[in-house]
Amino acid sequence: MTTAADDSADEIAFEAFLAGRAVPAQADGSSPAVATFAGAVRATATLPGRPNAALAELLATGLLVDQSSPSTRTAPSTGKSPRRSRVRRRRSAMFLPALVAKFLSLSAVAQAASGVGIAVVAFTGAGATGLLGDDVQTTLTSVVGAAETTSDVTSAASSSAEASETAAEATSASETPAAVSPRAAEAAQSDGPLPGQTFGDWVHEAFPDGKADGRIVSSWARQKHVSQAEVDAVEGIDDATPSATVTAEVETEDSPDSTDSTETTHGHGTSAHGGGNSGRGHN
Amino acid sequence: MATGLPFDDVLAAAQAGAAWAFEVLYRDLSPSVTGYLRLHGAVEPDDLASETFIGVFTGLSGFSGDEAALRGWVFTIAHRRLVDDWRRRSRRPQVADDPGELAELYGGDVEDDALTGLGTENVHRLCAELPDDQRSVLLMRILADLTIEQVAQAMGRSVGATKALQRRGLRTLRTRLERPMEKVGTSAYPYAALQR
Repeated sequence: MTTAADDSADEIAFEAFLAGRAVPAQADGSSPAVATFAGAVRATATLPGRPNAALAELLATGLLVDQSSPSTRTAPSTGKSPRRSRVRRRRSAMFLPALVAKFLSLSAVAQAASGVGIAVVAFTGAGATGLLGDDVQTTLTSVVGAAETTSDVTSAASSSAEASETAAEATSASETPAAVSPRAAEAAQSDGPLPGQTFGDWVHEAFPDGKADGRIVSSWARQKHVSQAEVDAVEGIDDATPSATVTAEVETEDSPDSTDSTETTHGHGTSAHGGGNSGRGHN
Repeated sequence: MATGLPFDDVLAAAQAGAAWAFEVLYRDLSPSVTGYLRLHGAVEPDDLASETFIGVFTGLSGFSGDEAALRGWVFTIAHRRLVDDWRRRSRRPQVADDPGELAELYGGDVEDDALTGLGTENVHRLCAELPDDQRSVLLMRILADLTIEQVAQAMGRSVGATKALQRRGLRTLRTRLERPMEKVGTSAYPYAALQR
């Protein structure tokens, strides 16, 4: 006959066994039956089961490897993407701590070198995306541009012809930024050569497109007492106006009184004078 | 953990899909899970345990909790697999009646093997005589070290109902153990050896 006291004693003995405490003995000194039973149950469960093929594959490969053709038995039956995305996020989350751990394991010198490398990469990246300040960005752009030009020249060095072309392109490219703006050209035309500026430089400044206005050139040549030879020595400039005017006006510099239509006509007669600049080896 | 490794490290690695962590968890939990299924009379306890762990490993990324919570979750899955298996087979749990198969699970001293084998067989018989719910409560508490609350959650019962099931299960065991069992093996009262 089982009484409530027996139930209570069984529960006390059972809980004591589960908690690892000493199990109170029965009146006859034997262990309570439930504790004995519990011990026997645990004794039957000491060895792992035999995994089936699917579980064995999972235990061998895990889920880290991207399997191009996963077994249908190990593949999740649902195949839902959320689980895989969580795994990817977790893998990504594990990547950064691993990287930090690797960095911390380096020596001081290696850490410093790595730090400098990271800073350079970060700075270059910021410059590439235009995140730097204007001054720094300009400097970086010029440096990178020079480096790129140098690399272009270097890569083309295998062919001398190509190398020279590249150098010429580099030269012209470097000159392009120095070109005078249209307003500056107009100002140069109206203001004339600056003190200390050669006449040829002024012509190039005032007529950056190479099409010189003979009248303006002649006028300033006259005012600045520039000789015809010096005017003719200006290279890369074509006369956009009848050069006779230039010639005449320059010539009139020596004899101001002789400026008449005949001379102008004469100048027209040498209308090839502008082109003659090139014919004189001005180009 | 029984392996000596920090549980959090093992769990994090297992959640990331590391095979070694699966192995650690399997070696730690598989004996009790397989024993639970076997003592419930599952026809193929190893296969059921394998299905349980496949479910555990593939769903582990969504788990959060400590070691006890993991054990409770694993046994919840195992219990559901077991109930599904019962429904699929539509028959009562069976007593493992192949002493040879049981005996080969154990090794070591011959006398100890005999006592253990004898006890194992009677443990199976006693379990088979318990109602399913009472057996589930007792086995989860003994094998998985789950609390009453965890067992209630795993079985989908209230805590009070689970306590009542435990109480009735223990009473059934006592009643069964107080009368001589039918002859099993070489002893008319096999638990006499265990109660020394």
